[in-house]
Amino acid sequence: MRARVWWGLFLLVLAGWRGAVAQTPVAPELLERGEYVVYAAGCISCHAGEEGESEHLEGGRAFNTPFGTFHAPNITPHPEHGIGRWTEEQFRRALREGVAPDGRRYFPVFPYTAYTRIRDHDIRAMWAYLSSRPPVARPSLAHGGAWYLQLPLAMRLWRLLHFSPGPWQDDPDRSAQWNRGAYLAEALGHCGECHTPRGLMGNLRLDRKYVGTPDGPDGDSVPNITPHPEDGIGKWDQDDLAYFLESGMTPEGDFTGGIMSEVIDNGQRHLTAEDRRAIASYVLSLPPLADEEALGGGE
Amino acid sequence: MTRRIRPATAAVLAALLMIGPVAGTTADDSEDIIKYRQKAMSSQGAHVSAMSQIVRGKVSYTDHMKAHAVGVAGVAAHVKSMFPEGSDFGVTDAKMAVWENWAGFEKAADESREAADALVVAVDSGDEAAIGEAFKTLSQSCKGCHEDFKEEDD
Repeated sequence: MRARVWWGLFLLVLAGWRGAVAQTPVAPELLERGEYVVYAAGCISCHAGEEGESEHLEGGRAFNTPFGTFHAPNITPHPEHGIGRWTEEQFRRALREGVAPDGRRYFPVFPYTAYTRIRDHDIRAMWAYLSSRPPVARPSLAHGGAWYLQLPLAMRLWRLLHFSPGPWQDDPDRSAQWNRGAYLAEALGHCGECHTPRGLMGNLRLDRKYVGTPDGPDGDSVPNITPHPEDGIGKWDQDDLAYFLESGMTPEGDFTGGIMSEVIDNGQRHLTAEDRRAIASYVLSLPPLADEEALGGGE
Repeated sequence: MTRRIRPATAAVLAALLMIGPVAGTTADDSEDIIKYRQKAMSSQGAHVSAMSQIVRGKVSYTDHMKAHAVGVAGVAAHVKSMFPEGSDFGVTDAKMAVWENWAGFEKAADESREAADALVVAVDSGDEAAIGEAFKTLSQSCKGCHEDFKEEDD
């Protein structure tokens, strides 16, 4: 009888200990920072359900590209449909190297060419935050990419040509604000995914950075955001651009619609004013570029 | 002897009176309506943009807020009438959704008007925090409506 009680106590303690291990409390600061990085990285606009309006990142949104239709996957911690069985290292590898846990290479619809620049401590925070969210049992949809993308070496070849992994390196000749802005725009915000025109292979034409494109996602044109005085935003000052990222209002009092409106609501609006000013400082420092007439840029 | 208006005439007259205001706008040239509403909406933008400079503390013309807010609220009350059926034909940034989802558009336009009215009230109160909040709400409503009903220009 007594032995049974001892056994019961022992099992209780064991269960309690295991429970404690399973729910190792994550520092609230880490979760908070993770949420901030998720906002800054613009994860929500693409992963928040089919309409981009879900409060969970269960995916489903379709992206119609010249290379086929792709669907944002479920990145909630659901063990079956989401990333619940991933390790932190697998998550880091997805962002840094664009490689899925099963070894497959991601299609660059997933902006890993930008996310590879995210620093380790931010990836760690993102992982902690995403893992803390409620799991959603929504199966990820299959991609409908073009046939040649299924060829075993297609992605490897593309990566060889257009992908250089590694975290963002600050430019010591620039101010801290500029470097912060560059990191936010290039690594996290991935502005270029929409604002930089693409080459024949869907690669970003970095010599035409941020010049806009007549055929952006959803078929809408994407404006030139280089500081070109006529074609771009050369007449905006740093405050104008920072305020735009907060409110969606241009200096003319017009309000952005479309995807940029989502980018603001699901990300930029939640950043600190200093971070928005940093992005503005960086973007307005870039070389001013005129629209491409030949490609019908502008209108 | 008083001439009596025959019921049939009365019905026609009544019908004419009822459709009168609508006919007045749709009879206007679609291109002209589009031009007019673009100017009216630009004036909204100019007011909001000017207010944003005050709200952000870039200029100290706080006593101008009332004029801008009243201007925006006045025009906001007319937004729905600027999009009559048929005014989608021409150089317009209005999405077809305006007419396809008229109930939704009406709701968005009403919300903008309410947000603009609320800003006037806030300005009257003189409470800086309330003004800031009301201005933010108005901006959100402008953006929300453009998101659903206005093509992006560049």
